[in-house]
Amino acid sequence: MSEKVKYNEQLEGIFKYLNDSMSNSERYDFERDLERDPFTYEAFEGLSKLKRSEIENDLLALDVISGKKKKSKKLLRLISVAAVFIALISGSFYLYENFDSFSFRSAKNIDKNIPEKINEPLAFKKDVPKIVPVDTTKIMLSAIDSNATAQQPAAPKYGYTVASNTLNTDNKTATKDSQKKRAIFKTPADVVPAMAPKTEQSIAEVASISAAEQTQTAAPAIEENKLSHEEITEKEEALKRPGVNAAPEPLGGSTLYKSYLEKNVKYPASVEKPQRETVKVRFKISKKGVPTNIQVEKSPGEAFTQEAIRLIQNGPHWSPEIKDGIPVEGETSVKITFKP
Amino acid sequence: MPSTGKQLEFDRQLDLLQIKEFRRTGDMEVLGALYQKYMHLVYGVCLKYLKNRSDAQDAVISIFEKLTIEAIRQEIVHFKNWLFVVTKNHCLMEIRKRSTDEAKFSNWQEDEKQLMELCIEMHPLDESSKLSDALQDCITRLKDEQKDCINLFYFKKKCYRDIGKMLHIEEKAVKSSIQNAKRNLKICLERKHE
Repeated sequence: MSEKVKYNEQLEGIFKYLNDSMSNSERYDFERDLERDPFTYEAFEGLSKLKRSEIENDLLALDVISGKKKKSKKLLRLISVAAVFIALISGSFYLYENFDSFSFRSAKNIDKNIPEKINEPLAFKKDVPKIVPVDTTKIMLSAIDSNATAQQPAAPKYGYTVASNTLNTDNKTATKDSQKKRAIFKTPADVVPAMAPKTEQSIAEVASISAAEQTQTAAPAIEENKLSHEEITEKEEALKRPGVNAAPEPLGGSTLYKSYLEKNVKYPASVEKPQRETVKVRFKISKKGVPTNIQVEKSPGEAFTQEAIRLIQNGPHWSPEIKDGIPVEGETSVKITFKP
Repeated sequence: MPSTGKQLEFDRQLDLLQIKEFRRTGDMEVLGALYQKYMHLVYGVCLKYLKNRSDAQDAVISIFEKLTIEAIRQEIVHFKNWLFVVTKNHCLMEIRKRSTDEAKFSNWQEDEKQLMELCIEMHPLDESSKLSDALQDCITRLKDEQKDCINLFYFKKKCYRDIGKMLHIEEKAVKSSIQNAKRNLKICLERKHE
């Protein structure tokens, strides 16, 4: 309420002044306010060229227009929120499907007591660069076209059957290690459900390589069949966007951060011979963008150190370091200049 | 009564609360309400620089759009001053766009940065009623007309019109004398501090 009154009050004052219906002391107060505030001063210079009715009309029109803009922006925001929702839902659905086949695989592995750990990283390494982009685009596509979510459950099954077909053909050639191969085989097939037909050859390659590898290395670990930890990292793998990296940066940009430091730095009063000093601090930026673990690399004294830590701690938050699209803990350093 | 420092500080805090609320909720209406409070000022400044009603109106709208982005991106300490800088920037950029059709993007951006960093300080004359010795000394060194204008305005509390009558000059001349005097005083004070 009070804003509305104030807004009219000042405008009313301008009209009154222009209309010459103020006493001399009122005029003085108005002028004093103008001198104090360059914003009002310049605005007054502009407004004084128009008539009162013109100003009122224009402002009214602007109110209406900016009101309309607000609404259209709201709609845009709604749409974007909806898009994010769809992406999330389809993404989690996709993960859920994957999770199912993962656990299916691990159950089989335990049954046959096949050491799996050794082969898996190899198979994985080979295919990751091809796989991950497919995953993300799939999720994005399904976000755009919600129909895609309906088709999605079918895709992994398709990939799976194709994989097991090739598995059968492979079985004929391989004599002894067929059961072990089954385990190796499914790893890429699960991760690239839709791509399976195209990557058949590469899968076969991987399988033969890893099979050869396997015969050489005796597999000791039974306890490594506990897959729960790996499943989590694999899921994270699916969310990754390779190549999307960023260093930590203060919110609002570095120039603004510098001016924050300059404006708020207080020269310690206890110093006997005040002169220009610099303090260098190094600190971690948590995943959420909070500066922590502040450590001083160079400082002329304890008073400076304390002030530097205070500035960083009370200062703006940061955007965290991004590695392959995922925020991680990062580190940065800042120089603070003390001027007497 | 001219508005007091306390009241100005209160306004500033109120604006900051609204900005905070906007940043928290992203509610355009909160920002809209805040903008409306200063819209006549923004419009006035745009009028001054663009010298044209329809251009000024367009500018008011684009500045609001700019605001919706910048208010989140930047740390704002004093909304009103900040808005003034944003408004002025926008107008200067518009003017430049007009004068040279082939736009030089790099130049604009540099300029904008410089202006963004410029912070508006209150002139010591407007800030407090007590004068420092340095300021008093500087006032005595002003040209006669400027000195008279400052004395009459700040100490005798006369309005522009009365000063004009007393000194037999136009009201416009009074205004510009005061502006020039203030600028000279600032330069004088800065020299003394060095």
